[in-house]
Formats: sequence, structure tokens, C-alpha cells
Amino acid sequence: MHSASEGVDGTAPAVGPVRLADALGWSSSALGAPMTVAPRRFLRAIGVRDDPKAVAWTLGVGVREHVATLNIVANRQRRIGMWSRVAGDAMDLTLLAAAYRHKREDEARLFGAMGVVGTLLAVDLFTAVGLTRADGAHVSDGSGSTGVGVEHDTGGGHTRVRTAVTIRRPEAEVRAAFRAFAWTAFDPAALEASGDVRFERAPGNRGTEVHLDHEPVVRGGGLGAAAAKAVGQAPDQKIHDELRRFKSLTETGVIARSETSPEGPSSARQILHKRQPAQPVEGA
Amino acid sequence: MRATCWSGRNTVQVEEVPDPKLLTDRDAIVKITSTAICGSDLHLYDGYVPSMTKGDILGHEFMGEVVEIGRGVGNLAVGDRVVVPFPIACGGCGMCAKGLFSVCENANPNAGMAEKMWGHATAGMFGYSSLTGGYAGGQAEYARVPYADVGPIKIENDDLTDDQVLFLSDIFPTGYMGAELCDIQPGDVVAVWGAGPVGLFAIASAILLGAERVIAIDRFDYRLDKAREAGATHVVDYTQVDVPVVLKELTGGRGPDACIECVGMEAHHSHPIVHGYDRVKQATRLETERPHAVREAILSCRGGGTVAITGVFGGFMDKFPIGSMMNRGITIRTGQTPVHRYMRPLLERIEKGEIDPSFVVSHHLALDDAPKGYEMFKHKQDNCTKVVLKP
Repeated sequence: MHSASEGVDGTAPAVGPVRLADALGWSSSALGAPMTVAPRRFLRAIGVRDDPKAVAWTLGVGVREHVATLNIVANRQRRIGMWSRVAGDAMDLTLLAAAYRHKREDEARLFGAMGVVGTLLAVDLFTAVGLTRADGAHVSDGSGSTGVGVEHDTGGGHTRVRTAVTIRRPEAEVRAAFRAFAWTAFDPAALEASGDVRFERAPGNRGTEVHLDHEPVVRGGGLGAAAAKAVGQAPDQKIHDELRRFKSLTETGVIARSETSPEGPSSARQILHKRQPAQPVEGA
Repeated sequence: MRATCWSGRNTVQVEEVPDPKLLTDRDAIVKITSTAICGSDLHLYDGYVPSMTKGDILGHEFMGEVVEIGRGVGNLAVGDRVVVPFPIACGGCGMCAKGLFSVCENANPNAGMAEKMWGHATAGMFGYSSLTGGYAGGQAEYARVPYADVGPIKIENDDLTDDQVLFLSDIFPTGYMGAELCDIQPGDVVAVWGAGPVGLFAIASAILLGAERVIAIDRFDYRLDKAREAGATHVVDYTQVDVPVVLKELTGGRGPDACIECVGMEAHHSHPIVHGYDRVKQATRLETERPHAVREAILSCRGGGTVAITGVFGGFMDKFPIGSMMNRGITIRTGQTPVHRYMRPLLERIEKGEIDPSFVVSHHLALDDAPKGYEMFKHKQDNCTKVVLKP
């Protein structure tokens, strides 16, 4: 079968960081093969003395190259795989420099090998940076998303929350309940004014959809945000918890409370759910 | 009060814990008169269900007397005799409105956890890990029943014993749902994997719903005998024969019209290598299931037939025979049972004498003997099919 997939596998010209990464991924094995199959001959070819220690290093690097192919091509971990290659190139340059000092056989060939690795380092770095940028663009651009979930803008410390919940009640009732609910994650009036919250009729007489597209302010920078997330206190977690409580209260008049989550839906309780068994709490 | 608490793999203990209290206006407290150990409790006991915590009170099949009610519960009174369904459902969300109580959108406060694993959450469930809400269970002297105006069914006929109505809480509706999902037509042949309590109810229900032949598959003679008692026309010991081959033969080469899987994540396979493959992957957490019965049911089912899965599964299985399913147009139907919608019609069948669910019970034990009950049930000692605990 002739299909587009052949091109993706690297036979087509490598255009764009993804194609380039796949081509480089295959080249890892192309380079790793002689290292693992004939390490002595490989060492002679790059002008290094083939003593047992050098052979062992060559075998190790050869295996690493095959792993790189698996990771980039088979596992499709292109971005991580390419940054690993950058690290590998740096390691190889260090090894070649050490070989130049202690195990030099043919200076011209060694310089040639260093030149090749240096070039690979530049190409790998270019590709890795390209992939990282492409990923960042993909993540922060929500236009292709289904509109539900959390998106992390890699450009800043902010987290944009796009989520929706359906409440089985008419719009007027949901709007009134939205204003009356004791939100702590945001100010409902401000959200309505900025257009960050939207109410829509759910199809099939299923009530009202509440759509949120909101970028809460994250305090404490990246480290603070990570710390808040780890204990269930990040703004997006609070928003999701409160939306669930809001839905439950509006639809049923109560918030669902279990023995392990006595305050109702709580990201913090879920993260720390092992702290308390499902038993009645004394004095609850 | 005394309660059966999970305390790690293969250990449960009956401990003294605080008495339950009302947490919302729609709660009730039930003093438990009968509570059973479910086959799905064995998955917890064996340690294959994630997000369990030492000290979790187990049990989701229970009944008893209402001793306290919240202000919002208008349809129950103190002193009422009730059976409680195992899913906890709010009655007010879009799913409950459709009768899909087991995927209620409000009653699971840990829905966020469940969504990470399953995409969307289930309803709450009594005594069944944090993923289903972290609710205390009912193998205890008392239980708090949330949304008590939605779930419990009042038993007004005092002639009915606990053993006759207790299983409305889970296994009778679950087995019945398995048969109902098969959309049984006159003349149909139905095969049922697993002759445990749910399998027995699936067999009996398939007959009630008009199946002409029901083939029961298990490895214990005493369970296959029970299957005959439940109405199975044929029984197959899978350790003695190759099940798909025998099913072909019993159905004139066509395969069963419908297959009901009543086994779940800890199935056995008679071939040691096949069994070992999934056993090792499950033990090393590379897959969460040992799904032999699911695979066999799909491969055995006739083209265009239905496979109903009532066994409990946790996460991800290997070697799912999607090729057989797709190419031959097999329909798979499954779900945690929305027990609420089956309680009333099945209670009517019991009252009319169409079925007496107490036939599955093999042992009555005191609540304090729960650890013994788990061991007996797990190891199929003393011809154990169903243990009822009496607090």
C-alpha cells in the first residue's frame, strides 16, 4: 500500500520539526548499529584506540542510540526524545574530548567525528526547540479544543479554565442560583460582566448549560501554582469543586457528602483521600 | 457501633467505629437487620480495586429499619422496613431523570477522581472505594443512607423474610439486568458465565424473560447444581471441556444468541498458560483485569448476538477481541446496575411468587464472623454461594 504514512516514516523530505525529529530518530539507530555490531571497527574509524574500556563505552552509546529511536519513532515521545538526544550529543562530545587526550590514534578522524557530533548537536537543538515551541503553541491555543477542561498557557503563570456543566433547571433559575451561590473561586457578578460565563439552553430539554471561560489570577508564580495544585487549592481545582457543589445544590437542594468528603466535592480531599477511611466521623 | 472494615489485602476486621449521623436533610439512618457479602466485595478483599483506605467500612447489600430521618425525606418514617439500593443517586440530575441512577451526576463527591480514570464518573456507591465516593458501607450495625427519599424501597409485606427481599439491593436486579440487556426472544439460547449469586439470578431471569435454553458455565459442581435449581437447562464445567467448542455443539454450530458475563475482573482459565499470562499482568499491575470470561463470551456468541457484562471491572484489559466483535456485529451491553428502577417490578415478581431469591443463600453468620464469611466465600469452602450477616 502506498500511503501518506510512508512519508511520515521519514522517506519524505523532513519538513517541520516533527518530520525532522523522526528522521533524526531513525538516524540514531543508523549510527548505533555499527557501535553495537562492530565497536572495534567503529572506534578505528573515528581514530580512537580500541581498548576494552573504549569498547564498553561504545557499546553503551550504541544501545542508547537504539533506545533513542524507540523513544522518538516508536513511542512518539518526540520532544522528550529530542532533548535526550541533545544531552546525548553533549555527552558524546565530552567522550570524544577525553578520547582526544588519552586514546588518540588518528587526529584528523577524531576531529572529523567531533565535527559530525557538533553538527548533530546543532540540528538536534534546533529540532528540540522547535518541538517545544510547537507544543506550547498547541497547548495555549484553545481554538481546536472541545471547550472543556483546563489549558495551561506556557507563556505565563496563568491557568485558563474552560469548562461547562449542565444544570437540569430553566435558564432564569440557573442564573439566579448562580448569583446567589457562595462562590469563593471568583466573583459571579464580575464573571457575568466580563462575559467569562455564558448560559445556554441544553438540547433535548436537559436544562441549562453553564459555560465558563475564565483565567483566574495565579499567585506565587510557577512554584506557588504547583504547590497549590499539589494540595488541591489551585484556582482551576476550586472552580471545578464549586461548580459541582453548585450543580448538586441547584438540582437536589443538598450537596452530596460522603464520610471521606464531608464538605462535598473537594479536590483537596480527593488528593488526600487516604488520610481518612470511609467511617462515620466522631462528632460530625 | 460494630462495622466490617477493610484493613488491607485479604484482611477485614469487625471494629468498633463511631455511629453514623445525618450529614444532610435528605439522609436517613438505617439500623441494619441483614447485610450480605457480594462477589464484588471479594475484588476489594483481594486488593484489586484502587483507592481503598485501611478502615473503609465495606458492604453495599443491606436492609433494615429506619431509625432517623432528615427533614427533606418525606416518603419514609421511623420504623419503616427498607431495602437500600447499592448505588447512591440524587434523583434530580439529567441521568437520574432518564432512569440511569448508577451514573448519577451529583451523588459522587469524588467524581473528579473517577473522571481521571473513567472519563466520566459513576454515581456514589456504598462501601466501594474512594472512586465511587468514599461512602461508608453497610456491613455494620447502622448505615447512613444519603438521598433516602430516592433510593430505599419500603417493604410493607411482613410475610416476606429478609432473605427474600435483601437481594433487591444489588444481585437480583444485577442478574436481571444482565438478562434484560440481552433482549431475549422466544427460542433464544442464552449462555451464562459464572454460577455465583449474580449468575444464578441471570439464569433465573433469562428463563423468566422467555429464553428456551440457558447454559450455565462454572467450575464448581455445587454451583452448577444451584444453576440447575435456578433453571439452567445445561451446565458446563469449564475445567473439563473447551467452552467455545461445547457451546457450538450445544447450539447446533450457531453459538448462543446471548451471553451473560457474571464473573468480573478475577476470572480463571482452565489453561495454565492463558491463566498465568493475565495473572502475572494483573499481579504486576500491567492490567487491572483477568477478563477470560469476557473474551470467551465474545468469541462464543453467534454473529449479531449480544454480550451482557455484569461482572465488575476496574480499568484496562489486554487482548480484547475487537476483531471478533466488530466483524461479526456483536453488541456489548453493560453497566453498574441502576438498581432503583428494578426494585419495584422485581419486588412484585417476588410477591407474586415468580421467584424466591432466598435460594442463593448458603450461610447465615453473625456480623462479628464477617472475616470468616469473606474467607469461606473467597475459597468456596463448605459449598458457599452467599453469606448473609446478621448484626
